[in-house]
Amino acid sequence: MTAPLLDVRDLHKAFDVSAPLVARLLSGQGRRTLRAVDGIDFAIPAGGTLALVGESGCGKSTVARCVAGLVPPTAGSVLYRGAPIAEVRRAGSPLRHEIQMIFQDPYGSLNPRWRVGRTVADPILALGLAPSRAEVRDRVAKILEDVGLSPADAEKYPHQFSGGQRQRIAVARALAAAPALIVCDEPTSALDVSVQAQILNLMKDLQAAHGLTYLFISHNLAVVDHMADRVAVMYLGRIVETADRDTLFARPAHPYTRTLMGSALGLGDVGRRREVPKGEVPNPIDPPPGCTFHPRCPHATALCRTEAPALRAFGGGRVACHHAETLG
Amino acid sequence: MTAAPALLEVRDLHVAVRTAFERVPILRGVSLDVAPGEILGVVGESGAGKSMIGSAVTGLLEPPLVIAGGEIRFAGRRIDDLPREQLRRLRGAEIATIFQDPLTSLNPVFTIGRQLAETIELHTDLKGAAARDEAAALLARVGIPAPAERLASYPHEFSGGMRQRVVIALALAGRPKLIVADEPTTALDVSVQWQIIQLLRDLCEECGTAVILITHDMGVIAALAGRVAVAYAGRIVEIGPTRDVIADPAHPYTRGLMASIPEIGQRRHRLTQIPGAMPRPTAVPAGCAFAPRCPSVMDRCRVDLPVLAGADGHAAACWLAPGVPAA
Ligand SMILES: Nc1ncnc2c1ncn2[C@@H]1O[C@H](COP(=O)(O)OP(=O)(O)O)[C@@H](O)[C@H]1O
Ligand SMILES: Nc1ncnc2c1ncn2[C@@H]1O[C@H](COP(=O)(O)OP(=O)(O)O)[C@@H](O)[C@H]1O
Ligand code: SF4
Ligand SMILES: [Mg+2]
Ligand SMILES: [Mg+2]
Repeated sequence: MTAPLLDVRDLHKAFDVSAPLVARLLSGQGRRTLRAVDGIDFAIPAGGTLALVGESGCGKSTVARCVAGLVPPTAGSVLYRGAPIAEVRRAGSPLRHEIQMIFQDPYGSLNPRWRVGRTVADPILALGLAPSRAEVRDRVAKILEDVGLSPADAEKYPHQFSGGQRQRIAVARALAAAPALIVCDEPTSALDVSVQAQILNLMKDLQAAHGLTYLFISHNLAVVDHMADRVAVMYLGRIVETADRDTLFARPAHPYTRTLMGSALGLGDVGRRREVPKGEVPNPIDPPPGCTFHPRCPHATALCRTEAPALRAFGGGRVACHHAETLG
Repeated sequence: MTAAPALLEVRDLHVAVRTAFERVPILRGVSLDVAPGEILGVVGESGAGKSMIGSAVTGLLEPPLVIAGGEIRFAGRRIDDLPREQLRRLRGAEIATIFQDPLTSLNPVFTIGRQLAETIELHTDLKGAAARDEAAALLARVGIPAPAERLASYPHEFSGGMRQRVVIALALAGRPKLIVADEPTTALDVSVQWQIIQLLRDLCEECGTAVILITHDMGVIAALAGRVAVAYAGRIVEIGPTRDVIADPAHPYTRGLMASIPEIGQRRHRLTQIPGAMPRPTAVPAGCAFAPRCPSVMDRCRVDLPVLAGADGHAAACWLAPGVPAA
């Protein structure tokens, strides 16, 4: 096997969520940490798409920010082309531009006072990817066309566009940096479904044309099934199951994965009643002992309540459940 | 069509933004009926006018938004021209609302027991201890554990899903005939969303309460609504039994919308996409508002506004839909 483009090992990220000092002294409470990401491993080969899926607060965005080098991990490593991410992201690093990010809210991530042309030209100029002004302009025009906008849009400001078009601008800016890996954090969650389809199609086309690698984050299983070739399901900061897409969707092994699939709202079976999942995701400041899913799990036993299951090979993928074998 | 007399009738409703300088139409002739006890879904992309339909029905439109035409009848009585005071009484008692964010319906400084009891006293004959007992019973019915103790809790002491349960209890407290639920599960995680959907369905069945379920999510409609109205640019472009609309959509917009939704296990290489975007209210084209995006557009569509037509309660506003008279 060739080395993966991105290799994440035993990644931890904890946040200090202590009350202010005075309040702590008064209440006698100590410092509190929230383990947003609690030891996860994954790798993505060049040209592949790994999807991280899970409900809000499970740590997806924190993983994304660690991978993009926006926040330092508490422990563990993120290796890009074998090099530590901190080095890759260092100013002047020749690999720095290869990792780009697309966010859920394109408006918040675009400079409202910059014309679209400037936003897209910025990385081209910064990286010296085009030698003359005329060539920068040509390149911007070409990229705008690649993402389904028109070269004339370079003269406009972000507020003059719809949400879907703004997401195209964000994609154009990422492309302008000649990326290899794009970290996409819920890129279509704020969009209407017909516009989501446009953006997902665009992302697939660009991946094929430029050999892009995606870390694709979503809470929508149907979108994940459509985009990913490998899937990791997260719950309370950990990966509870990972497998290639076909295996995961054909034979979900972890009770949480099954819960998610059972809750996905499809168009088939109008009005069908189904088993209602129990409870809600607990507060990550105070996760349950043992398997953190046990309070909601229909199969939990005494073992589950005390001992955390390790992520281990099972049925073609990896699963963190004591009873995967007996669940069938 | 349904034989039972409608609980709610909306006829050719027009809502506009009216200022000293301009008048922008937002709803441009919306007609729909809700039968007693049924769940009617209203689905569409953001900006289609879904919430505006809900606000008009519940009398929550605030200037510069005004009803510019048409009428709304509730239990046979016209309500769109009622004085504010009477409308307020109707709201809460006979028509209740549930919003996406439960905190818009809950007062942060009062216990939920107090808020429930107040609503019960206002709208029913129950007073004092009887109202409190009813409040606890309601909490139990919406699936809140230890309901009697939880009466003393404040809204912030509940999780997101539990808060939405409290809001449902509050909506039911006045024993309304109609609930307008605007994106009631949109802010919730998928597993919790499913809990709330099932709860709403069971309670409304039990109490015979009708619901207008507003959502952008066709999956929520499929799970909950017996009938669905598809909104586009301030009009209803298709309406019918959910099963029929999903299996056999008659309007090109509905067809495109349905085909653009990824489904688990479908494995299409590309999703069907509708080009362009829905027009803003200030730029709605003449004729059929969907014409600029429509794969089947004809010359006529750009001039003549199609109206809902069809058979067996399934109608579409498209010159190509079955049952539409030829030009
Ligand atoms: N800067 C921060 N400070 C404190 N807690 C944070 C911070 N960022 C995220 N968290 C917490 O970490 C957990 C994971 O958050 P996040 O990675 O955003 O999850 P997701 O993207 O899956 O919704 C959440 O409980 C969140 O509240
Ligand atoms: N107070 C207002 N003033 C002007 N326009 C408004 C106002 N409220 C809503 N609109 C416009 O009315 C249209 C319909 O809005 P809304 O009913 O909220 O859509 P939906 O709920 O389907 O997303 C939108 O284009 C919106 O921008
Ligand atoms: S380890 Fe136990 S509690 Fe956790 S998912 Fe498996 S069966 Fe359920
Ligand atoms: Mg996130
Ligand atoms: Mg709305």
